[in-house]
Amino acid sequence: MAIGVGDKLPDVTLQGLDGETVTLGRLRGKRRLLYFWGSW
Amino acid sequence: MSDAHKDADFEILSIAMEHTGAEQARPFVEVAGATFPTLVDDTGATATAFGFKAVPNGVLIDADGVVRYAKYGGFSVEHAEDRAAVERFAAGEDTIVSPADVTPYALGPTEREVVATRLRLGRLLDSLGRREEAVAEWQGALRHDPENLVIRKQIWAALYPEKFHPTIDWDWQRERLARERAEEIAAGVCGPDGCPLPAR
Repeated sequence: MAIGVGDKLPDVTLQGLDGETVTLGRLRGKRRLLYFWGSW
Repeated sequence: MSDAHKDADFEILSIAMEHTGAEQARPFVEVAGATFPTLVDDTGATATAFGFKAVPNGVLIDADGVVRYAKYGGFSVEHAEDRAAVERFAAGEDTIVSPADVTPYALGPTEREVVATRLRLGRLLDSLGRREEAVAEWQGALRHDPENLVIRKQIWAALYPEKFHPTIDWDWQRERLARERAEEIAAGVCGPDGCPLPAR
């Protein structure tokens, strides 16, 4: 099943456009909207 | 708590599923005038790890990193109900209801790991200039999940870059997808949800 309510985020690490490195599974401290999109 | 304080505890994180790399995503972010950070997934790793095969998707997480809402496919802040869910969550509400039809993803954890590994290996090979081997790894990943457009477009972008720059050839993509799927189904590569019935 897809990641859903009650699950933790997976530990995928991505680079940002401003050079930052973020591991999704380590996000803490704020409520967040993760918005996945594509230009294609 | 004042509303201003609550809003300070909320952040948007955009994730561009851009298989051609960060620089392809940048103009879209700049045109939108986004004030929030954008991360780039150029290998499809999040699609595999989260279990989605298409975009746009919205996932709300709390301050402990736990998912409190997920909508896969068709998520947009221009849709009233999606926007309302985000605004209420940002304001501190906890009982946000996700859409019932979360896209099913029938690959087991071992198979997902195989797909993720082959995606990473392909990316490493591509970065070393070993393009043919990279595409072979991505095609291996696609055989496990032939409905996965994120993986398929990664392959297309590598083999047919002219179909993505300077503009995206959507007609080509439609024809190509139909042809490739027909060939795969004829060869018995149907994916975890089984073989679709032939069109009448």
